[in-house]
Amino acid sequence: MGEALKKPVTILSVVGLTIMLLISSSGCAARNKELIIGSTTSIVDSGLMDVLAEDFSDRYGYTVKPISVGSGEALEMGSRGDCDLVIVHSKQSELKFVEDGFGINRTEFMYNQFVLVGPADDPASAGQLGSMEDCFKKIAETGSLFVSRGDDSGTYKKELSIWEGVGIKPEVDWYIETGQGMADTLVIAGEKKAYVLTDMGTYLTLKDKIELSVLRQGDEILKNVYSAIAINPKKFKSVNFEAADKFIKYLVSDETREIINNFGKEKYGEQLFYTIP
Amino acid sequence: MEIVVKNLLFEYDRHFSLDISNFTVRNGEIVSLMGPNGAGKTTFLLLLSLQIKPRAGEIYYDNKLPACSRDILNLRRRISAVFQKDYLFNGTVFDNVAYPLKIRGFGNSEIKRKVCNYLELFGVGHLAGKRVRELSSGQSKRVCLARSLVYSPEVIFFDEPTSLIDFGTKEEILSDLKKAIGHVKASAVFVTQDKTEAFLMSDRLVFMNGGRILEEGTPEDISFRPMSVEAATFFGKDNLLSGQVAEKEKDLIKIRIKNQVVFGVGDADPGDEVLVMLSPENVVLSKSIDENSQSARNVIYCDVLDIKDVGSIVQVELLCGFRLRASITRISAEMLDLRPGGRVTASFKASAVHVIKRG
Amino acid sequence: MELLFNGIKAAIGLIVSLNGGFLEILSLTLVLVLISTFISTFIGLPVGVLIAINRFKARNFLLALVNAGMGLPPVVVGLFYSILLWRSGPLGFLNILYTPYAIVLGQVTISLPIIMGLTCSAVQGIDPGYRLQARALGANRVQEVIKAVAEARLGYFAALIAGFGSIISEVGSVLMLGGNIRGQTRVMTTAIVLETKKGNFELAISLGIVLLLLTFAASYLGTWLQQGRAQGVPKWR
Repeated sequence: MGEALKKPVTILSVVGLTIMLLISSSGCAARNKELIIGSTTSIVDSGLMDVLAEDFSDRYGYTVKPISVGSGEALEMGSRGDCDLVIVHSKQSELKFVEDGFGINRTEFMYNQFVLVGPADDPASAGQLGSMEDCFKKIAETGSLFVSRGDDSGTYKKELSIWEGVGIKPEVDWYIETGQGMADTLVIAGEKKAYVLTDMGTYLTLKDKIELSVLRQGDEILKNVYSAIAINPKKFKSVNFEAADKFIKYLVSDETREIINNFGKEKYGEQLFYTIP
Repeated sequence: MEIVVKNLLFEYDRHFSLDISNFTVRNGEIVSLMGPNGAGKTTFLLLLSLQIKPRAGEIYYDNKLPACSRDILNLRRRISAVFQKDYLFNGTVFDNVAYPLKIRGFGNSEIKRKVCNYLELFGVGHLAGKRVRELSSGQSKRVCLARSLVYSPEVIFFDEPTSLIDFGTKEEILSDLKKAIGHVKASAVFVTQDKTEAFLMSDRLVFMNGGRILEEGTPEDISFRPMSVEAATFFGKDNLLSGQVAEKEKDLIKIRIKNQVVFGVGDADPGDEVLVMLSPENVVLSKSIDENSQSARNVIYCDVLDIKDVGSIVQVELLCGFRLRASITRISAEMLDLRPGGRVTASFKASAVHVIKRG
Repeated sequence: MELLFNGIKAAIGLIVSLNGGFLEILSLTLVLVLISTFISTFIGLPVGVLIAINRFKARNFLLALVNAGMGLPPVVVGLFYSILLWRSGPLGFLNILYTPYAIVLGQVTISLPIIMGLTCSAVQGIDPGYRLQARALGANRVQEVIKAVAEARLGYFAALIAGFGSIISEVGSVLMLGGNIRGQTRVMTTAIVLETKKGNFELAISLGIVLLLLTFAASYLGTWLQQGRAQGVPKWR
């Protein structure tokens, strides 16, 4: 009865131990050649992250692991020491992150543009107004439909900051929170013929499928700055600071600047990311 | 192999038990166990075939009592069992029949020889390569039998082996089976509900009920001349009447039943309270006393109470001081033009009236 | 509708062109799923059989656990292991998070109860007469169990196919434990999620169609093995 179970249990434990040994040994060997990056979703979604990761990996032989989680969660990861580097676009949170001692060598290396898109006929006449704040104010006044991501993303945080700037709390009847990624949010906005704040890259990808046009771009407030922050090795012994530091230096190197600036030109006909001189 | 059972006791629960004080299967003998459902036949078979352990008592196999589990395993290797379902394993016919030989370590060429031999014995040699799920029920049974005999067991236990097979095929299979059993010189114990099966196969019949053996004898003995009420009921003897013996002259017994007199045969003395059994098929009906009834000892006028059509037979309920049932052919019924309320003569031989002492 | 049609066209295009990136994702998906299914079968099949044929005190409890495990939400599995395997977690020293090893761990956890549970049911459903018959033909305890257990062949394949299906189509666990890293842990399902997020619906749909075809092809193979080279319909007895 119990005898019959002894044999398989023994085999199982042996197998299990073997697997664990194999796993931990292979993990250890590559440990110092591994770079885990907690990254915001937009840089991954655009495809730029993959390009940079591969290029860096080819040059320096690291295994780069970019984990696309969104700015908020990336900083969370960093504060636990679960990654070596974070790339985010959420200045206030970033500064706090560094202040709390989790991150060091914060380096702003590029920016992209948010744009305000909406129905081509622009019912709220938002496009013509003086500033982004005015646009938002007008949209609120006219009660025009506005779709928001409503999640932990940098895009949402940027949008919120504008609402806060004009002192308006958006109301439920004209303000829709999707809780989803940029592409899905855009599609929903397209269906509802609503206004939405988005990054240029995602918009360009979906341009043919949704009936929305760019109504406003180029404002200073719409500039979305990306920073890379290395995780503090003094706080977490297991982080690969050497690799993180190398990556940050890589990001601001001349060759990389060229990659970043040229990214997407062929596919979208427009530059998506701009390096910070 | 010879099997001797002594004082075997097995308990199902508080109320029911199996109690066999004496039972023997001789070398090369085929014994049938018959009885109504719940009589304990299958349990007895399981005990004999070493599938279950008794509460008390001994079973001797060739005068030896199995002592340890090694003994039991060795003994099991010398016996075989066939059930209602064939339990053919996934695979081909050949693989199935070869299985018992494989686990006994026979060599490949010997296995091939034996398997083909026994498949031929049962007339299914041509099916050797077929997968078991493609077989008809008759073919499947034959393969199963071949498998059970291929290793020449010394005794084979059968639990209603042909109960799921149609009549035509049944007789053929049983005939081949009997030859095969003779071929391997095995003893056999059959549990069966089927009188045809028992008749065709057995040297000896054992009737069981309530966990006990009630009667033993040849198939003819027990089915035509049962000694107990239970056996009689099982073998379809209707017309059970009580009476008292008035006179006895040699083998002929005169019995008083109600206000009628009936002549029968059996073992009872004047004054005994007896049970009288008469098979409905033995009651002959006629309009009046004529040639048919002249040879019969018993001739009684009866009222017709009821007539029931049962397929090719007509059952007639009669009243002649006591209730009597007759089983006649439909043609006879038509010729007699029977109807309830009418009168008819019932006649039957004394030898058809079986008398058993009561108490 | 147009999107779907374009997706189908794109799917055919993907397969025919044998695009490098696509092949990478496809092969990684297959390799991981096969390894995980193999491990789950290796453990699950014999243990399932053993649980079914043995009587022991904790049996009911174990069975309940296995049955509950069949409905385990993959994303919960992913979350649970993530917490364990983060560098800041108790098993962080293993360094397997965001590697294929972690994915296999998650996939095995998801498919194991399914294979175990279905195997167990299959064995319990075997007519006990088979064991009796094997014994009557002279089999010892081990032989009789082997012979009887072999009768549930159909059930074992069903367990395998179900186990396989449960992990090839799942995304929650493999996303969390693998990180969806190109060339390392990006599989069909996570690639679909990524392309959808990016807005590349056509590509996502074509990947989805390929995934469906893949799953169907694997199931067909499994079914063919299960049913065997039978000519004629098996008799219902």
